[in-house]
Amino acid sequence: MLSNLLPKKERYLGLAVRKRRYDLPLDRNAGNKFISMLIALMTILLMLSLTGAFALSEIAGRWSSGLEGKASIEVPAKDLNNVLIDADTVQKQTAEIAIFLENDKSIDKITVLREEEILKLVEPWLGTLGGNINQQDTPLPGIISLSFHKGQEINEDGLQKAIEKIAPQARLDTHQSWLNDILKLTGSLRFAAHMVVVVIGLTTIVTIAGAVRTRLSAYKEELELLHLMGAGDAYIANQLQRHTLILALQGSIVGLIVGGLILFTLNMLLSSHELALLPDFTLSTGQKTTLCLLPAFISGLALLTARLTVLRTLVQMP
Amino acid sequence: MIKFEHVGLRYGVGPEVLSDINFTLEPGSFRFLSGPSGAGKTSLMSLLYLGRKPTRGLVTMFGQNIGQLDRKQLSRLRQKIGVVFQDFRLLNHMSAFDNVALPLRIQGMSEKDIKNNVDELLEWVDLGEYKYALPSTLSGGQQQRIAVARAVITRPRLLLADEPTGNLDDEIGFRLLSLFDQLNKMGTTVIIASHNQALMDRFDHERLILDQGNLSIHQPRSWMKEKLESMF
Repeated sequence: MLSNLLPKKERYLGLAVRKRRYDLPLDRNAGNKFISMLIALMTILLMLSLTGAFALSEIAGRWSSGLEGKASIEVPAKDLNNVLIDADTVQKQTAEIAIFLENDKSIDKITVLREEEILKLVEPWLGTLGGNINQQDTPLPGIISLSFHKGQEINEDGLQKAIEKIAPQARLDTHQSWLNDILKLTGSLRFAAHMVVVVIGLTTIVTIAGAVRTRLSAYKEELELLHLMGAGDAYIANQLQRHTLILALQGSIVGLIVGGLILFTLNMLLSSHELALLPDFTLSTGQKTTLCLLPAFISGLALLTARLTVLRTLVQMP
Repeated sequence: MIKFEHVGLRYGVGPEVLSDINFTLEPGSFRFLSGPSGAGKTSLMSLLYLGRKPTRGLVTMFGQNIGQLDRKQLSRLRQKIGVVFQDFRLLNHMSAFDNVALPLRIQGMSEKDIKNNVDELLEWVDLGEYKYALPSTLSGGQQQRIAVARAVITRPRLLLADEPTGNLDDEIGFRLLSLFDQLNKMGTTVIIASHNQALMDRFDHERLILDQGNLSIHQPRSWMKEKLESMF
């Protein structure tokens, strides 16, 4: 306090701090901490929901790009009448299909999975060969992995018919059915995350507007006095918006720091567990910049809200 | 300079507190506004300091019909008016200096000029040593002088004072009215609402008398004397 530096006699008289900041006693309002804290919480929520939206976009993108232009052909070890086919026949049919596909110019790469690779794939369900699996009782299917040229449209029906001529029980799987479902799910979650961002933004606006209105009614006499002295609406609005901006900046920077710590902890926790289904996710520089700019965005929003609220309220004065 | 024509004022749907008010004030005039309590003095003052708009009639101030002015023009017009409120209306979180400086800051004067002007005026009202004191720590008389200093700091064209001597003894009240008289002689139009008959008698100015919302004009004693002398 500057007044503490002044002579005791003057302090006793109750001196005002020499540096004038506001014409309204905004600094002395008990609600200041509440607004800052609320904005800090809003910032944390915004950070988490934005990061969630970023992560979902990234995951959906990777799933989509990872499986785009890819397909697999399964040659089951059972015919259409559910009768077992011996392993040699399955291998022969698989090889014939592979040879046929080599002539298809839309296909970039053909990989016929070896028996060991197929056994590795089914191991989690059926166990190991010689252990749970008896190759005579459990014949393995043939699997061909296909990569199409970039941007190449897959003629799913034509390809299916062609391989059926070689092996009637063979099935082409372009992964589209389950990929579409999973993309719809991630799309919905991403939409929900964006909605949360919008709701938090609206809540911030409503909270700031409410706080400013409360102040305006608390300082009605002071406002009226400024008004009668010829203070224009902009003069009064400038004071309240400056004060709101400072509170919003304080709150949002604290929120950014706390939100950053939460995200860091979350990242540490997730990276310590292996989540097979989820690809690794790290924020890009652009995404980090977006998060770092949140205080500026929230403060700008608060400033604008305060200004509009003040101007709308002052219009009611003569 | 100020012209009220058939002006009426009512609050909400209540009865008219001012009805059919007509008067004209020339620049540089000095008027007392008196009348019994509840006669409508404060209401008329609020019309004069543009705190309210009349519910009927025409108010012209500084050559402008206030009913036709937008908010910005009204703000500029208010800057030409200094007001001393009955309850002073000082801002308690601000020092005496800042209270007096407020109208200048509103008008956008530089801090250097503000300091020079305010310091000089605070010395003039004998409050130079209290310039950093908060109003709540000052006596009623000192607060009143701050309110007066704040009202005159911009050298307003119109000075309005609502019961400025209400809380003062007669001698201090007389000194305050003398101060207003000096300002009037410097060209400021002054209107003082008061019900202190004895104090008003000590000054020779025309009176606007309000009674139950109706205004009548009473000439000063000197005018009566001149009139009587011219008759005989």
